[in-house]
Amino acid sequence: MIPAQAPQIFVVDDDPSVLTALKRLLNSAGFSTRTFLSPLDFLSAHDPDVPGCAVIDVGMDKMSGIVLQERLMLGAQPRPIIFLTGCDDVRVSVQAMKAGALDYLSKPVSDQALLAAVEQAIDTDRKARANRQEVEELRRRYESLTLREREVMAQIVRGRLNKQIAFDLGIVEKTAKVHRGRVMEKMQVRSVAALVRIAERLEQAGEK
Amino acid sequence: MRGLEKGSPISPTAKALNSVFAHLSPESLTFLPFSAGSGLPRRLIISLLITAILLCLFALGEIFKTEGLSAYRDGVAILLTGSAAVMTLSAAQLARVNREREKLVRESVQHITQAARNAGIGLWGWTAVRDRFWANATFLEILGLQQNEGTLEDLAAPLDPEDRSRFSGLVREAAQKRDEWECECRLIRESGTGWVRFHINGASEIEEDQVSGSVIDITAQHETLAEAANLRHSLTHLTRVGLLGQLGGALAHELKQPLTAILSNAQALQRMVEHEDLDMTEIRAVISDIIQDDTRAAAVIQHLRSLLKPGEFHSQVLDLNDIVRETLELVHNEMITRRVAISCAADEARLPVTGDPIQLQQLLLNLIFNAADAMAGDKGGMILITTDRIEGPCAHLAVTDTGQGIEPDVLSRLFEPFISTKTQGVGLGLPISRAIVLSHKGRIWAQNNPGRGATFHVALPLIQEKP
Repeated sequence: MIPAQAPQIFVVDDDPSVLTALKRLLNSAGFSTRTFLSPLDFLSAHDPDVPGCAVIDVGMDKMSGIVLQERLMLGAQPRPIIFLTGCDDVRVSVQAMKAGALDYLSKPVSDQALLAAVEQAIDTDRKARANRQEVEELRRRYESLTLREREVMAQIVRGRLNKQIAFDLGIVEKTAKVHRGRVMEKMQVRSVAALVRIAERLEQAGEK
Repeated sequence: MRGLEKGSPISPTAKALNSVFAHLSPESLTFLPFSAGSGLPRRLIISLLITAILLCLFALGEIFKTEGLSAYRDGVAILLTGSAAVMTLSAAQLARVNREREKLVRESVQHITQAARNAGIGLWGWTAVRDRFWANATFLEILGLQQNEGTLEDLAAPLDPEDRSRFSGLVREAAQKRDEWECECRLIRESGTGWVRFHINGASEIEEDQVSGSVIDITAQHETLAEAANLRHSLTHLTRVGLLGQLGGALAHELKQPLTAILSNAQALQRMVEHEDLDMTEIRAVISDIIQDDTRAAAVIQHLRSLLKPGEFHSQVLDLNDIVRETLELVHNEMITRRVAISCAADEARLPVTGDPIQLQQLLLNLIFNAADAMAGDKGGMILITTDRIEGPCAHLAVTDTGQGIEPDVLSRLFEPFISTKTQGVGLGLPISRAIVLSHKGRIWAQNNPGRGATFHVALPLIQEKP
């Protein structure tokens, strides 16, 4: 197990006074924050492994929040984003939400709205991380299978019997049975139903 | 305001009228028939001579009293009578000719006076030696004077005190010089300030020390000009308000930044107090930041007010680069929304010019929005703003876009009103931009780029700054 890290809130706003004020507010609510005046600094310092969320201003000089979002979403571990905006442009907000923003808050933002959004984002991030971790673990198990065992597993999850598997793969039934046992052992499952669920999750994660 | 102007251009009409009226005065008019008459008629002189000879002959006849001479005496008497008759007739004819001449002159004077009255032209003159002026009825009417004669001081009395001494000075100078002047002066009237334009003819060859001229009432003309200036001003203001509408969210953003900082700071403070987390250094810093951001918000509102206010032209020394910087801050968000990349390459040195910061900002906003509109719908539209020094010496501002460029037939009429290629355009942005540039004694021009898009250039005279 990876040791659980305290979540961090990454605040990005090119206005120093807004940045300081947001940092104070989040700190006063007990959150650990890191602030960035420039989106580029944030990108270069960004560690996707650190849990938490980002609070980003949409209208920044060097790079708009939307472009920053696109860059962040390119990674394997998307960072939940809460956008702050000074102008209520519907087009931009729709674009941001479509691109996966968790929330889109208008400035000036009340502490309740911001803290609730941050709480939710951290929760989302934690769940996503846990999920990714599980999937990662399952993938590791799957990758420990030999090519033949993977073929057998594909047959098992389709509900096929050892006899049918043996026929399809051109092996004897006894060998098929041994493969099935290895698959169940390596995948750490007791029932075919559990194996099917794992296969589904891996398939979903693979699609993403 | 135009004060006294020496050697200002004189209209041909005024010139013609003034040459007609130049040396007309009541005095000279009265003596005109006599001075103008080319001596007594020759016939009268001849008949006088003949009469004198006959009288001599008659006297000789009386002296000698001879019988034989009686016929001679009678003859001479008859001739004498005849000559007297001719003389009487000639004298009568002379009187008639004189009467006719006098009538002709009176008529022409009347015609001139009438024409001047109908045209609303006041005629006047002034003799330096006696310090007396004369004037026609229209002149008195225009200036609101009661007496048609008096000193130069009396004549100038209805003028605004600021213009009075300058006018008198010019008239005195005119008495010494053969020249023409035109000057506009303000009048103090019960109904308000009036404006008159004097035409002054200096001393002539015929009459030294004599000044003459005309005057017309140009109050209405001045009011029309003032009205036009007002309208232009309102229009400039209205289009500026329109620009603010276009800026819309960007300005709101400017205001929301400090408000966000204030709210978050205040709420952080609230939480610190609730949790009794009282780090006094931090609390002081928070309060100081709140005050600072409040001041910042007030400054934004002040700026907004100045843009909305139909203020007068406030000329001051400013750095063109500052105008560019402030305007870019203003449009920044709007350009993000429009997906236009806007960048700036400002001259490193200051570009000091004299101008109204609000109007110059309006000018730049116009050019930026024009550029952005020219690229509406394009992907990856770019605007580049550059400032540098060019010959003149002038501060040079260029706004380059990557839009569709300007159609050749539009290019020549670009700065005329109501020429718009936009579906929603009124076509006043560029004419107003030009008006702003002209009022700053600058130049504005546009050209299509070799590649794509167009560039608008503005040149404003640089001023010398004290080191």
